[in-house]
Amino acid sequence: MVLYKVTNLDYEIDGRMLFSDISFDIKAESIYEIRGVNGSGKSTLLKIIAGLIPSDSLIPSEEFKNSVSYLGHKNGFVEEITLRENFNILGLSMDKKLFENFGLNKFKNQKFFNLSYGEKRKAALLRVIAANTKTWILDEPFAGLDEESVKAVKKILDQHVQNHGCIILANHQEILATSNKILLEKNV
Amino acid sequence: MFKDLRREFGLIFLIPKNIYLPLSIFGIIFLIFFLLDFDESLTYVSSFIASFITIFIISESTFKDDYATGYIEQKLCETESLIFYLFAKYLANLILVYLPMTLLAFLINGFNDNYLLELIFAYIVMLSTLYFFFNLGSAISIKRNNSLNALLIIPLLIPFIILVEEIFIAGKIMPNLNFLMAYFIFSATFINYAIIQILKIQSK
Repeated sequence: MVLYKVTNLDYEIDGRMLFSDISFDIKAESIYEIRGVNGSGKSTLLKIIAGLIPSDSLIPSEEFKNSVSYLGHKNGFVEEITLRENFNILGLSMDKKLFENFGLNKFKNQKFFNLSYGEKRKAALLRVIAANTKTWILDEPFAGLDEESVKAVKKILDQHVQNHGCIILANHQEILATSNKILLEKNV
Repeated sequence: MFKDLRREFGLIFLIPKNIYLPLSIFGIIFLIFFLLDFDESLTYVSSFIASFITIFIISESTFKDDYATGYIEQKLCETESLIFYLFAKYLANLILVYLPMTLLAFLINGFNDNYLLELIFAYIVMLSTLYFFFNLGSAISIKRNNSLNALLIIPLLIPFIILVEEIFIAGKIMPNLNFLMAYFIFSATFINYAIIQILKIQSK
């Protein structure tokens, strides 16, 4: 089942062509990995797919349109309240096992601004998981994570795909073995 | 809708400065007018000026944190519309900030007017309209964090100021209250629509 159809997509910022004539389909039950060097337009392409930047070259499937979780460069949490309170005000459940796997159990009652970059990132990934949506759009989900957390995230990504979900992510770190690649630079 | 209400009310309760900061600013400005010993007929003018400055100051940060943390970006991708988000923000502020502010204003001005209910209603409508207009300024200035941009919307408030003057100073409640209601409906619909479009552009 095709979730997003991208045909002849071009994008230009201030006269600089980021990418041109890109076409691909995104199907359910797969991981799509957008790869490219810094400034190649990975985040921009994700924003186009997520609908933040409107484009006529993108046709999203109506069925999956309302079941999307997006994680950009920023985490989306309120800094002045605790991790637990952040989850509570969003009405999301806190899976004890997942929090344990991500090493965040002991930080539940810490103010969000007191967490490290990697901990904040893991918390933001937990929000995506707890939202229970079919499509995950993730911008650099492995950034700032330690080796153990990267393994845990990879496992969760695989589980989501097995549960008929779809993941589109921008990544310039280690390559995922099971993903379909969307390359934005020839020399990647 | 329920999720947005839970978040906005939750945030106001969890971060108490969201309530006491506007009420303190409002109270302090009133106190200044009191110490300056303004003429009694100017009490409504004082409360209007106090409300105007308070809402201008607090609305500067209406969207600032949600924009900086990426919450608005997430919201746009996941729900497509910000209508319920804006409505929840308004409702939380109306109940926990603007109603107490109205009570405070009438406690100082006195409850002995012949058209008390109409005046209280007009006051709440006035605060709500100011809130929507200044939120537009806040959305415009969100990226550059420059509240001077928010001042650009003040010319839009000139008819509103004339109506408020007619109601509270001249005491001509009708038909000015009806016109004020029309202005409120305009701000609740068109201005909020403009805010959503601006937030979408700013989040690109």
